[in-house]
Amino acid sequence: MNTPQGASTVTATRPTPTPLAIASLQPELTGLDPDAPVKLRAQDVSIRYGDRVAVRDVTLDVPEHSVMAFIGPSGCGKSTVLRCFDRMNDLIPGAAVEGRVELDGEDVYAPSVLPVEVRRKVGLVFQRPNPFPMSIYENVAFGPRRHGEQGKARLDDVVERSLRQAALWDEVKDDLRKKSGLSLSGGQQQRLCIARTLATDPEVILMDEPCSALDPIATLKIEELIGQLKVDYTIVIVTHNMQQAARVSDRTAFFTLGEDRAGYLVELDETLRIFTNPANQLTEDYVSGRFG
Amino acid sequence: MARLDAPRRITLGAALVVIAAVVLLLGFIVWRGVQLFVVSGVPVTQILSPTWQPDPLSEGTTYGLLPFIAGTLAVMVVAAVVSTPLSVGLALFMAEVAPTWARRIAQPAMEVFVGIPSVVYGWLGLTILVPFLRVHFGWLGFATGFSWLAGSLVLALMILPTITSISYDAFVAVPADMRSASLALGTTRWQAIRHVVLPAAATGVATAIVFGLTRAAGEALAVQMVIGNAPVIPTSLARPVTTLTSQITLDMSDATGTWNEALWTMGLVLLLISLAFVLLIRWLGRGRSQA
Amino acid sequence: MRRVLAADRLATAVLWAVAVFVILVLVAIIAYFVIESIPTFSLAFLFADPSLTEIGGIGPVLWNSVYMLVLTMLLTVPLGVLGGIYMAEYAGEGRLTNAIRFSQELISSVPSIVVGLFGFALFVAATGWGFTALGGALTLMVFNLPLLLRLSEQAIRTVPADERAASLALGATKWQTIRHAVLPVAIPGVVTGIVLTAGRVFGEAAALLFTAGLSTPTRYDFSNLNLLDPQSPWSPFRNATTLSVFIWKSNSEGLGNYVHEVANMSSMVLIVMVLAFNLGSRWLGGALQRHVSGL
Ligand SMILES: Nc1ncnc2c1ncn2[C@@H]1O[C@H](COP(=O)(O)OP(=O)(O)OP(=O)(O)O)[C@@H](O)[C@H]1O
Ligand SMILES: [Mg+2]
Repeated sequence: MNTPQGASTVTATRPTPTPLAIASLQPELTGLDPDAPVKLRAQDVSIRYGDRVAVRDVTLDVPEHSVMAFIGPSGCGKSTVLRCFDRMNDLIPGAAVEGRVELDGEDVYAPSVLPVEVRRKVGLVFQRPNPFPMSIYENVAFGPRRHGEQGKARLDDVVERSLRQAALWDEVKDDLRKKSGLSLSGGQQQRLCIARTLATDPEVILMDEPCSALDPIATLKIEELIGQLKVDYTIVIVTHNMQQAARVSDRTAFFTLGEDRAGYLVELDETLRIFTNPANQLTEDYVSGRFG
Repeated sequence: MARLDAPRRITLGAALVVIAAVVLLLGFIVWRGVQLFVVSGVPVTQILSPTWQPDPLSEGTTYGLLPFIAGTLAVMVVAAVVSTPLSVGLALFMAEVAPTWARRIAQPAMEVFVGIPSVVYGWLGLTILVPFLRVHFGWLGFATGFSWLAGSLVLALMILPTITSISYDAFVAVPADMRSASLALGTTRWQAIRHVVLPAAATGVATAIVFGLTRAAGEALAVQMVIGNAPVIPTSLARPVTTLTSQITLDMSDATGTWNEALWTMGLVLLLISLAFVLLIRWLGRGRSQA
Repeated sequence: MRRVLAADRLATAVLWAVAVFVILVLVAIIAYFVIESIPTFSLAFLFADPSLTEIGGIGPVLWNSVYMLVLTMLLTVPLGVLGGIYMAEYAGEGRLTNAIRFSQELISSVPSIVVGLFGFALFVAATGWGFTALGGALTLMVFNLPLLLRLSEQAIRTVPADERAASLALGATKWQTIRHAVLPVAIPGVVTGIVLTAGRVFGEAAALLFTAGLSTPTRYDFSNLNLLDPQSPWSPFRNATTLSVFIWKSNSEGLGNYVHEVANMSSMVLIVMVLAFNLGSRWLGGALQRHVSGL
């Protein structure tokens, strides 16, 4: 229904993106709410780095309070698309975004919109844990402080709540101020980064391969966490781990590289369907490990 | 076996020349520097006197080095106070704010700055700065223009590239991750600089400032040309003062006897000052060399 | 929110202003010397003898600068590069290495006037040579050596480990490896270091006041090739006032009718020379780099 037919010059070699099939799913079977409002929307989005088109003609909706996974081979533009939702592409010299990106129906790239405002509503967790070289407490309090929260009691409160949400509180509560964020293990650092993002009270959380540097136990903790967070937040997660996508997400978007070396969205569907009965042969090959 | 070791020994020999140079330098400067006390019998405490009356023909000969030490410190500190905001600002600009084209101008410009010899700065101070102060700020007490402030301004310009390039390195060494992390939390660029980049680079910036101070304390000719060379305790930015380096430069060729020995003692004091700075820089850098 | 954004804009504006200001100061300095020099400058200025009654020239002092440069580099380069090889390839962690590093740091921060005093005590007084070009060059070596040592060490350290490993794996000795695998790759960096160090020789004055001498030379006879004759411009055992020292001296003494013009033009010459060294080192380093990687 929202295939970017008119927008793109579809070449013969490229498979036409499959229409979204959400409407055809039976809600009672999937547990998905078909009437949930759209939180994030990309419409005919193409992103270039300098002259090189990294991804083209991406159209997708992320409904509120759901988890969407981005999967696909390396270099197909998953991170690039993810970053356009909180305008982190602005930081890369030469990066240019075309098309329309919406948050709650409003154009994220409108001239009147400040990137700072977008990023306060849309948090980003990076692939590599990157805590600040400060105490655990200061790491989590960083966002709230910058946004004007000075009250000690309230900061204490935010720090504790965020660390609890990120399932880190019990491990660090005794040396919040003594220990540097950098002295934690990789998995703890990543949860600290998630807590740091939660503390700024975003509406959307973007995660770019949050578990790629973590062991299975830490990964499990983060996956559980995502399951809990989606009650309050809208989440988009990039992952190379099929099982992870299957476990944590409600919907999955599969991207791949076209013949022109630009990435594009092949298929977006309910996760169950992507992994059991995808509409596109490329998707099937990829999820069953027959890719490349 | 012995033959295999020859290259090692030869290269080691070359490296040892540096140690030999230091040992000789320390030996000569310390030896000549203590003559004032050992040979001429001037009490060590006398160098802390504020009176400099080295002429053996006049009465009340006193070798007080306090005016020179105080002058050196005063000129150095004001130079750093003027130079630091500019240099750190410029370094921040190049590391955090500048678009590529601006960086492409600023970086070679810094190299040109470093390359300008100190006598040229001195000459510039003498022909432009000193008359300028005299003509336009005479009402503030710059009677001749030769002044503490003139010395500090010339030095500020000279240490600017030193502080800039070392703090630039410190800013660039802060991982890009840190900035993106801050920005992704919805902070402005300035908040990221102020609360992430600056704290993370603080030691590096401190080191840069100490390097600048070191250079300021040791610079001789440029300062000597504009400072007025009055052996008094500095009290006013508008008045002539002097420094250890200036006095050595001026008197060395003429002074004889005890007067000459006092100049060597000034050299020894300068050596001790730079030694202190080296130790300070080492202490600042201790965290990094361990990591 | 609004305050935070205003602070961001203000900070950005201030940083731009600082950068523009500093660059303008630099441009103004260079423009000043160029503009002041143009009316009186001629190529003859570079070669003529100094004069008290007319503009004259800087021939002898310019010659001395070049002479000191060559002499200093002849002394410094072999020691600096060999020492750099030791520090990069052989030095372990230990007291000796520490002592060398500490010496490097100390000399780099000792004021050049103090190095000059040391040079005077050792090369002028103790040796009984008096003020000589050789004494000046040895003094300059003392404070250029640590710099060149460090730059060479850095250049050699940047050679990737695989270059070494490949050569060692073929059964080459450590020295053969350094000689044939490491040094060729490190050459561009080493040369850049040498040229940068050389540029400093040109600008230095304080260390030479009491070592190479202060007299204003005239009428050099270049046909006098006797290296031991203090009158010969080729001799290392003679007074050798360089251009930098000359600028300081003519100003502090204020002698001559054209001190101002001569100082301006000399400053310009000095700046141009040092700039040439800087640009030259970049260019040469780059060219050698291409040459080496093209092999
Ligand atoms: N900062 C950048 N500058 C220039 N090109 C970039 C930049 N970041 C990404 N690209 C290019 O854009 C394309 C998509 O990159 P992206 O990082 O979005 O892929 P990805 O799907 O996230 O890959 P991976 O799974 O390896 O993380 C790649 O071809 C990459 O080379
Ligand atoms: Mg990626």
